[in-house]
Amino acid sequence: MPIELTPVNPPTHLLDERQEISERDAWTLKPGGKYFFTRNMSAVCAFAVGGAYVPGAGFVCVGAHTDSPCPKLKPNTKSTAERFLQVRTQNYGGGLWYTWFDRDLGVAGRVVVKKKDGTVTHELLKINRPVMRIPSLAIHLNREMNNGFAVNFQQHMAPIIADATESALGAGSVPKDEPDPKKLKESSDKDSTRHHPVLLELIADELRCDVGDVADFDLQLCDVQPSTIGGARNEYIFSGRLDNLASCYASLGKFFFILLTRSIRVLTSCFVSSHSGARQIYG
Amino acid sequence: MAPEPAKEAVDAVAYFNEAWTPYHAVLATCRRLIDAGYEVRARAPSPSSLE
Repeated sequence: MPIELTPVNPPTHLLDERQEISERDAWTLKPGGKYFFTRNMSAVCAFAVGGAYVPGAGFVCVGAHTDSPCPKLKPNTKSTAERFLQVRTQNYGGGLWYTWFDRDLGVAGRVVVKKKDGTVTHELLKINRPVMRIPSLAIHLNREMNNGFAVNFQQHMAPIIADATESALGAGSVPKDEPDPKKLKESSDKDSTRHHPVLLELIADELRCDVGDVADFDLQLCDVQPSTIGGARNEYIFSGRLDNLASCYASLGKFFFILLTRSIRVLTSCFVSSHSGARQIYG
Repeated sequence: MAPEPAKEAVDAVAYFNEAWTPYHAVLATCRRLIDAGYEVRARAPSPSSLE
């Protein structure tokens, strides 16, 4: 039977009931009914049964993928160079990586939270402020920059998240002398094994939990500059992730339109992992 | 004077801004499906529960 959803807060209820939804079980569907299910919080499949549908009448379907190329946080993100705390990332898909330079970067994705009472939950995270940045090198330090710049992902795509001095001495404090970068690195490396404490604190603050509750995560960098309508005549949409969110959105509109026909069954799906090299195990 | 953008374009931009990650995209999609009258399908009774 359908899960009861409260209109004022459907996402929370939807996520809470995630484990109870399965596409593998038998369902009792009614003509004219409209249904959907999710899988792993990363794919959604919706379908509608035409009012005059009879078995064998066939169906039409629309598919799209929800993922886009991005830098994903590695399982071990901790990195320190000179006096900068950095976050290691790995490439997800084949992206235009130079476009990630000099942007205000937030973090988003899914976090596994394990409370002290033993309960484990999955929380969606969206830090919508510029907490990281991948700065370009000043032109006078690389005169060949405008003659072609090849991004080395491992070397270049580790955004700066914090100043090592501030992290070592405490936020807001002003160092009297320049600290030894080597000592700072050693100090930072002792704080935790896999991630800088400042990253875990960011996540915990956003999710209103303790740092120790953050068991694991699947996070990616995100440009916090919002998508917008632009152009002199408002004729364009300026946005990242258009491949393939534009198709996801369009499939919804097309889907609803198709429902006007009554004798067919329609299906739309939004999957993750359509990008070459994504290598995700979930759909 | 620039014309007002189409309602569909405004809603598409809102969708893109919600869908930072695949997880958020699924959530944004589900919100719209629910608003359009779709129901979430739950697990059907298992054979053991029918006994």
